[in-house]
Formats: sequence, structure tokens, C-alpha cells
Amino acid sequence: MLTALTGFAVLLALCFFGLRVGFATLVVGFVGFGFERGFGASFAMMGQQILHDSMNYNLSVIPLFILMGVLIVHAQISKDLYDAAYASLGKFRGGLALATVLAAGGFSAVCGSTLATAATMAKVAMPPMRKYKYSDSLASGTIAAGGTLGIMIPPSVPLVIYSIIAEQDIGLLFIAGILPGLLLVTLFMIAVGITVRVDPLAAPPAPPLNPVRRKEAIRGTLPVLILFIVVLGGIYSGAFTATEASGIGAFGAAVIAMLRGHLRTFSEWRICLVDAITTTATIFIVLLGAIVFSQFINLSGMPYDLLDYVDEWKLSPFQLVLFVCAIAIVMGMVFEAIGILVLLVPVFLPALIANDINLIWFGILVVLVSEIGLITPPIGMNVFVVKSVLQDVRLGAIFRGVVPYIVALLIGLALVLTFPSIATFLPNLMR
Amino acid sequence: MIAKILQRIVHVLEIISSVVLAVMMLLTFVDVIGRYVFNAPIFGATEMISTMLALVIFLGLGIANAKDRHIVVELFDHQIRAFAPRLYDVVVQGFSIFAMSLIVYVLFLQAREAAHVGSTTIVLEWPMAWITSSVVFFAALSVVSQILGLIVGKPDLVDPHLEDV
Repeated sequence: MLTALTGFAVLLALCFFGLRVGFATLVVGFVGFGFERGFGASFAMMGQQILHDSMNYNLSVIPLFILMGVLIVHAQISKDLYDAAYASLGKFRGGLALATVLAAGGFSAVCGSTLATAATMAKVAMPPMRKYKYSDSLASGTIAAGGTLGIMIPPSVPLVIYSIIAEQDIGLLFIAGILPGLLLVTLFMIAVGITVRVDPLAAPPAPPLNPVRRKEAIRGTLPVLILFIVVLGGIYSGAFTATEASGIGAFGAAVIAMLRGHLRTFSEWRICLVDAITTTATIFIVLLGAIVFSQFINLSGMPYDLLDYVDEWKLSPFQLVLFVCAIAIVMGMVFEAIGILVLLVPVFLPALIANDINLIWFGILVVLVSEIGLITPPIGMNVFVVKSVLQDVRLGAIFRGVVPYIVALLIGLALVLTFPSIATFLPNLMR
Repeated sequence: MIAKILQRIVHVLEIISSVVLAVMMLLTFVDVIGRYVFNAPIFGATEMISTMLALVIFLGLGIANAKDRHIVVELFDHQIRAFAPRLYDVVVQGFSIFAMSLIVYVLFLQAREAAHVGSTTIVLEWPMAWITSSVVFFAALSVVSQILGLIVGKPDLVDPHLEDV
């Protein structure tokens, strides 16, 4: 236990110093394992793990879904999505903010990235909200929070990573993310409703969309909706695996982009492919580092010591889950989703399994918690992304603007904690 | 001169990795269509995709390392770097180079072992030594791009790319 705690302390210190998270995790895991078993064993373990996981067929969903996201961003469908959302929600008070939430949910459903969703929505949704004099804090806060939906609504890279660490079915986890994702969209919309009721000046009325543009926007959105239905419907019906779905999704996204007049040159293809490849590499180095680190943690016996503590403290399964979520919330202030998953899940996995906790439900909970971390200080990644796009908006205004959504996320967390079937209902239908 | 070499390496890595990922996407798509529409899946597609995944990762690491696009906890790094920027960069990048070299070494051991045992993939019976050696080669190339990147201090390698995904 002491070795593992030392390992964690060193890892945190290295990360805070500014070393790259993936490399720091890998080296600490290697050295820790070497201290426990000798460095010869550590070399062998590391080589086998890296080679095995780099060639893991199930993990090929990561580059392919990332590519799908990049291609969807490149297809520039976000404006159509936004206008289509506004066409249906424009009549309500705060309609532009409501449309931002809905469009962010829809965009993240085919894009899968919180950062890309936040950056894209900042470019698309901010100009109309500015035009109709929405307050900076409501507008930018809604964009930053809307982006977080990408991590829950499938396809989601953090869910893929959780599925590997916890050895859960990727398809089931994707399907499990649908209802909580929709719940969060609803809660975010309620948050907008309450905010504009409390402060009506934050969202002055805006005129409805003109009918011609409305038709255009809906027509532009349809292919994306179809792609989403094919990808998730295919997984849900069992017609194809998550990996196959990712290939179909990426191919479909390329077709959509081409139909919209993009991807006509080799250079455009190269930009998209290289973007997806670079992101894949950065995610994999964190993942590979985490796998090596978790070998060290397992060898140190820490997960089993924790299991003993859970017995000793007589924690009920629910209290155990609450305890882990509380740690994840604190970690979320510093680490992003992947960091939380790779550091936290392996440590508590034996205790969770021993307490018969549904690991699909738990995965959704951890991902939901890391969603909160994306917009809470000191490091709210999405807040910083929105700030980098909207440079004239003060950081304080964005942080103020996300407060209602943090409350909404906490309510969402409480609901999924209290009613696990929100996460497990659809996967149970599939089994 | 060094910046040019680095740019050339990254350019080559970008071309090769782009082709591999595009083929990976097409292969997955064609395999599914072949299976469900024509009842004729591609023989060994799973192994081909697995091999391409490894290549994409290690080709991509060369690009990510050269551009230093890795995940960082951005809390105190700016304050610490302010004391001695060049020294800080050398320490941070030096650590990354050490970690990548470690990866190259352990993968080299795996390649040597695979060559010694003569292991192959199960379906296509591709020699594992060849696959692992290719991965080692690209991982080693990524160390070279890290070192060159450290020397030239992050050159203008970043293409006009899309938002981070």
C-alpha cells in the first residue's frame, strides 16, 4: 500500500511539474513495478502490455471514432444543426441558449469530442447570441457546458477507455450513455429556463428563423441524424460491433463531408487524417502509460488493501460508489476524463466487483463526474477552450455562466446514482 | 537545417499514417458491407486492422512528439517554466525522450523475442517479428523527432489543422 501511495504521490508531483501525463504515468509504473519485481520483469511486462494493447482490435474504435468526429467538424454541419435546433426552440424565452444546448448535444452525438463541440459551438452560437444581446456569461457558459455533453453521448472516447480498463462491453456502455445524455440535455435546458426567468435581461427575445433557412437547416441536419441512427442503431440491434460501427461512422462522415463540398483535395484529407492520428497518439500514450501503471498498482496490492478497508469500515456498496465519486470530483478539478479513469478505476475495481456493483452503471457515473471537471475551476478545459475562441469574454464571466450547469450536472449525478436504471435500462434490453 | 530534417520526417510520417488510417477506415467499412450484403467478409480483416492500429499509434507518436501535442496538467507549469524556460523545456522534453526510448527498448526486446520464437499472427500467419520491428522503427523515429524538436525548439510544424478533437 505504501509503495503504491508513494507511486501516486510521485506521479502527481511529476504531472504538476508539467511533465506529459502519459509519459509520467508510464515511467512511474515501470519504476514502481521494477522495485516490486525487478527491472527485468518490468521490461518484459511493459513490452508485452504495450504491444498487446497497441494491437488490440477493440481499441481501433478510438482512431475511427475520432476520425468520424474530425470529418463531421470538417463537414461544417454545426450551423445547420444550430439553426435546426433554433427553429424548434426559438419560440421559448432564451431560445438561442436552448438551441445551443440541443445543437451541442446533437453535434457531440456524431463528433464525440467535448473540446471540438465547445470550440465549434463557440464559433456558431456566439454571434447570434451577441447579436440579440444575450449576456456574455449566459452565452459563453452555455457553450462551455454544452460541449461537455460530448463525453457522455456516444460515441465517447472516455467510455471506450473505461470499457478497456473495466473489461466491459463497449457497445453496452455506448448504449448506456444514451439516456443519461438525454437527461443531461433536458437538465441543461431547465437550467437555461431558470436562468432566464431569474434574469430576463440575460436573454432578450430574438425573432424566429425565416422559413427558407429553416427548411435548409433541417435538410442539412438529416444526413447527420441518419448517420447517428445507423451507428448506434447498428450497435443496439447487434447488427455490428462497436469497431465495425466506428468504421461505418467514419466512412459515413466522409461521405457527408464530400456531399457538402468538402474533402475534394488530398490536402483536405491529409489535414483531417493527421488531426485524427495525432489525437489518437496522444490518447494512446496516456492509455498505455495507465495500463503499465495499473500493473504496478495491482502488484502493490493496493486495490486489495482497499477492499479490506471497505469491509473494515463496513461501507455499503452505495456508500462505496459515493466515496469513489467524491474522489473523482476532486480529481476532476485537476485531471480530465481520461486521467481520472486511468488513475481511479483500476484502484477501486476489485472492491467494486466484490460488492457486486454494476460496472456499466459505475462507468456512466465516473464519466458523468469527469464531465463536471470539464467546467469547474481551476482547470475547466471547456471553459478555457471557449475562452480561447471568444477572447474578448472574461474568464470570470464564463465560470459564472457555467454555475447553473454545474448544478444541473450534480442533479443529473444524483439522479443516476439514485436510479441506476437510467444507465442500465437500455443495456438490459440488449442482453 | 535541423528544422528542415524534422519537417521532412514529420511530412513523411503524416503521409504514411494518413494512408494507413484511410485504409483502416475503408477496410472496416468494406468488411462489414462484405459480410452483411455479400456474405463475403475480408479474410483476416481483424488482424489487418489490429496491425494498422499499432502502425497508426506509433506513426502518430512521431507527429505528436515533434509538435509536443501531449496531454499536460496545466496548473503550475507556466509559473515553474518562468524561472528558467530553456532548462525547463530540456527537463520536460528530456523526460519525454527518456520515456519514448524506454518504449523503443522494450518493443525491441519483444521484436527480438518474436524473431527468436518465430511467432506469427493466428489467421494470416504474418510474422510478428516484422510487425513488431516496424513498430520499433517508427517508435525510434519518433524519438529522433523528439530530439530534433528539442534542439530546434518546437518549429512551425503545426499545419493549419482543425479544432482539437
